Amino acid sequence: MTRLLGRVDPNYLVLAALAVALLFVPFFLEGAGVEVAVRILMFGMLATAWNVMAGYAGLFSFGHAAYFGLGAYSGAYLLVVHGLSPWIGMVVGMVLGAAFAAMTGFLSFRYKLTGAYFVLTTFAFAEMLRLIALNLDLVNGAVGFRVPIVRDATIWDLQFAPGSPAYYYVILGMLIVTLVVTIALTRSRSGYFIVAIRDNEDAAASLGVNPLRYKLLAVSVSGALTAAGGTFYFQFLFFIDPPIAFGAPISVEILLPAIIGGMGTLWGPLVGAALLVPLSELTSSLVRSPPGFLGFLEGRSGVDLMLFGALLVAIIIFLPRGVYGTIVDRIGVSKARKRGRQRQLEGAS
Amino acid sequence: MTATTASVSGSRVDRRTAVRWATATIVALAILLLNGDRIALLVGPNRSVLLQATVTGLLIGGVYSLVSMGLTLIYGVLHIINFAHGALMTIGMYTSFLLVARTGLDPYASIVVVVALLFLFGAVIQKFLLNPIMDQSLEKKLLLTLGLSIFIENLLLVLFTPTPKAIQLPYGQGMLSLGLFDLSWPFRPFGAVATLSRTLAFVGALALAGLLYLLLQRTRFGTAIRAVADNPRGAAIVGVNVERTYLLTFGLGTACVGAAATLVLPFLSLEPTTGDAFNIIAFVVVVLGGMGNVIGALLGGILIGLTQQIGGVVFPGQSNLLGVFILFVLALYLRPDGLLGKAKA
Amino acid sequence: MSVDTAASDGALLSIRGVTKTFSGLTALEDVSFEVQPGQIKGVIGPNGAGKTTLFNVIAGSFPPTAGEVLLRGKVVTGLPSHRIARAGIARTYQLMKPFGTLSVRDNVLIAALQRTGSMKEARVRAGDVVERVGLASWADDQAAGLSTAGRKRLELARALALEPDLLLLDEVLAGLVPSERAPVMELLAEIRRGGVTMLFVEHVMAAVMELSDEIVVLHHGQVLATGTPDQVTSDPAVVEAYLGEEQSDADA
Repeated sequence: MTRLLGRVDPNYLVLAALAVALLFVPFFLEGAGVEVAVRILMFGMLATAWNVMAGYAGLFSFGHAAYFGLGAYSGAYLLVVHGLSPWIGMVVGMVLGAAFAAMTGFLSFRYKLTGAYFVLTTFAFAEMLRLIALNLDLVNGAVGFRVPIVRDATIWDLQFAPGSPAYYYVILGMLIVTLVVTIALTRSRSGYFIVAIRDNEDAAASLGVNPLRYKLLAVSVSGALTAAGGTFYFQFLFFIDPPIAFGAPISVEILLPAIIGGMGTLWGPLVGAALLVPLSELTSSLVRSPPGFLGFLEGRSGVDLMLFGALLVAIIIFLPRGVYGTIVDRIGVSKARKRGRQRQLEGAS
Repeated sequence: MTATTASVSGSRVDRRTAVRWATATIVALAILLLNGDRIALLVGPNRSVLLQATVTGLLIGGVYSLVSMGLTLIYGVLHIINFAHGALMTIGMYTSFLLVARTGLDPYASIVVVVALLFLFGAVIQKFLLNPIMDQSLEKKLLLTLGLSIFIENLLLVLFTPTPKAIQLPYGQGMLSLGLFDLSWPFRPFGAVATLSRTLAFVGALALAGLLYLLLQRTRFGTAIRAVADNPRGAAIVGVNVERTYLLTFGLGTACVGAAATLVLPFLSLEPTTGDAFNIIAFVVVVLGGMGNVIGALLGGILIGLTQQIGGVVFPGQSNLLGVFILFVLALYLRPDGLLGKAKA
Repeated sequence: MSVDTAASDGALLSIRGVTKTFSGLTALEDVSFEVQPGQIKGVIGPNGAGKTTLFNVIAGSFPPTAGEVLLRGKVVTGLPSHRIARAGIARTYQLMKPFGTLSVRDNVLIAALQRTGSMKEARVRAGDVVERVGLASWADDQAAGLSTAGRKRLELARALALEPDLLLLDEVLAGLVPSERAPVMELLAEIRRGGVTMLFVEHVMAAVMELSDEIVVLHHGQVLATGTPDQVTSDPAVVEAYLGEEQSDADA
């Protein structure tokens, strides 16, 4: 019989090793490459946060842009209008993200919206925030916010030269925190309850688990982490406006890595981000200067997204559990088969 | 209270509620029509704007109904949230555009080609992309249609570039002598303007919607569809070819957007993203009307059309959808099964 | 929180005048009975008699239209199911509901975590219960892959790990072939020896006769008869209810 390895979850060990390895990446990349690396880590982080709600809690959100945008705009507003450090904005954003997630989650759970209704509601809320932001002068409506350039900016300003490895290390730290939180959550009592509720809410309730409480916990954590990513993104991009913050594209970009990598697994989202972001960059550069036989593609926008769309379709059909998820599954199946053979040897029926 | 099952065209209970809603709407409209001026006065300085919004909203609402009926049909039978619905509509629009631009064909005549083509597309999509994953979760199927929509929209972007295209009806203004009286267009109900193209879109959409309803209720094919929507296994046992029904249903749903596409091309500018707005609106309508409820989609479309245009007066600018979403969220919480509810208890 | 001293007199579970209607259909009508601590009470009745509805009311899946459910004299009517579980009532489901992606052991862990805050302790207890019900060889297998018999045992294991005062068993023997039944019945007897009170719904008459101290017969949502197994099976009204069912089935 297999038991958990000792007292330390092996995922922590993997994370530690990964963190150390990732520390050295900026030494091998120059400016543009660092930006790609930042995006990989950022979307890895966002997808991991999404996965807490959709993968572990089984609550498929099609509107994570809501939390992302709240984080981005909190940071933007507090910085531009009140001169507060983006780190403060991040904390505020996280609180807002968690609160909004809890509020909308509560409404959905209370009124028993499930399946298609739940998915579309998450989408509707993100769209509502987008439209409200477009019309709200408080946040500059359609104009949005720009990061005011600060001379001698420090880490407190979360502002560095574009392409600076500092961004990389900040997001790496955020990614590590996100993964630690996720691992801790899934290993905890709450984490087990969350998954049990996903598998069978009635049964979980009949065993004393309060479904509302734990679903709210999952969505709040997811919302808070996603918002933090939003605050970072504003600082990284130096700009935010309603479509970028709350638009459907960002919702899709957040969930795609988790789907491609493997929903409901710990490393799936990060694997997905590591696959998708470079792919996007590759296609973009291909379109900018294509080799001879692909000359007709030159300058055409939309090619990279076409590829994404096709890839998504292909993954759903052929690898529905995602790239990493399928690997995990195969291992699980072979282990189970071994146990079955063991049972036969032992004569259990 | 969760929408796990849906009846595509409605049981007797649903029909009663639908009749109630329809009567109420007709009565309300009649009152509006007969007292247009008086009501117009009541709404003060905005009256002409409001009136125009009402007329435009009603007319476009018909199109929304047609699009949404296709979407709700697909959901009711296949339990798929077809996120590619809007993108397919855009394909329809580009097809019609090409036919008109290259061959000088009348846009309304292209409906035959576009509907056939979209029907075929739908059947192909179902057969080769969706059939393999029918037993997967709702979300996975949604994601596949999402991937499809991303692919389609960007393919159109690559092929046609973002430059907007438009066609003009050569007979946008005109007159027809009908014996006792002359009909001239654009029409002017109470001083608001109703262009020929929008009016034709409204009439055409409702006619097709009615046709769809009859097909579902009166034909063998329609009965098969409703049976599969209700109980696929049971339907299979009594001899319905479920897989073929899936194909044809998806095709029927996409044919609806094909028809809608031809109807709106004369008055909308065409870009690769034109279908997006219809996509979002269709989803709102479908939820509002009850997922899988065809009559609900019909009525919901009109309601949303009105809400969008009138809401656009209240929330000026790019956000005429805000009123729509507010209505959506309210409806979701007040009546999670949609305003007409699930057909079966 | 009310304590009704007059009627409970030590009863673990009191069902008083419970009625449940679903838009016109009366599933339960004025059902009253008690279960004493340590007792095993069987609930039988023809199909559609309202047995599972009764369980659902007791376990908190939905509240009754009228009537009360008291646990140790305390009103628990209408409480959500997770509160009732924490109060000491555990139930199994006729249509089993395993946590499919979790292992057998982790399924039971969920229940054990209600009784102790320590993950380590809960794991130990879960492991013990898994062994007790005979699922030790499958402890690390995904619950979704279990056979029907295995799933039944898992239902039981989860309920046991909750360390309940009252165990509601909904057709725990259904779907099992005779050879699979004996070990389960032995397990039930052992559980009873451990002092757990049981209320169970069952169609397998042999089991009902053997295990029950008392039987409640439901018919058309009403209590038709109560008494010892012998009393009930010789009650002419009960016989008629069952035979009447058979008769109408034969005619149909």
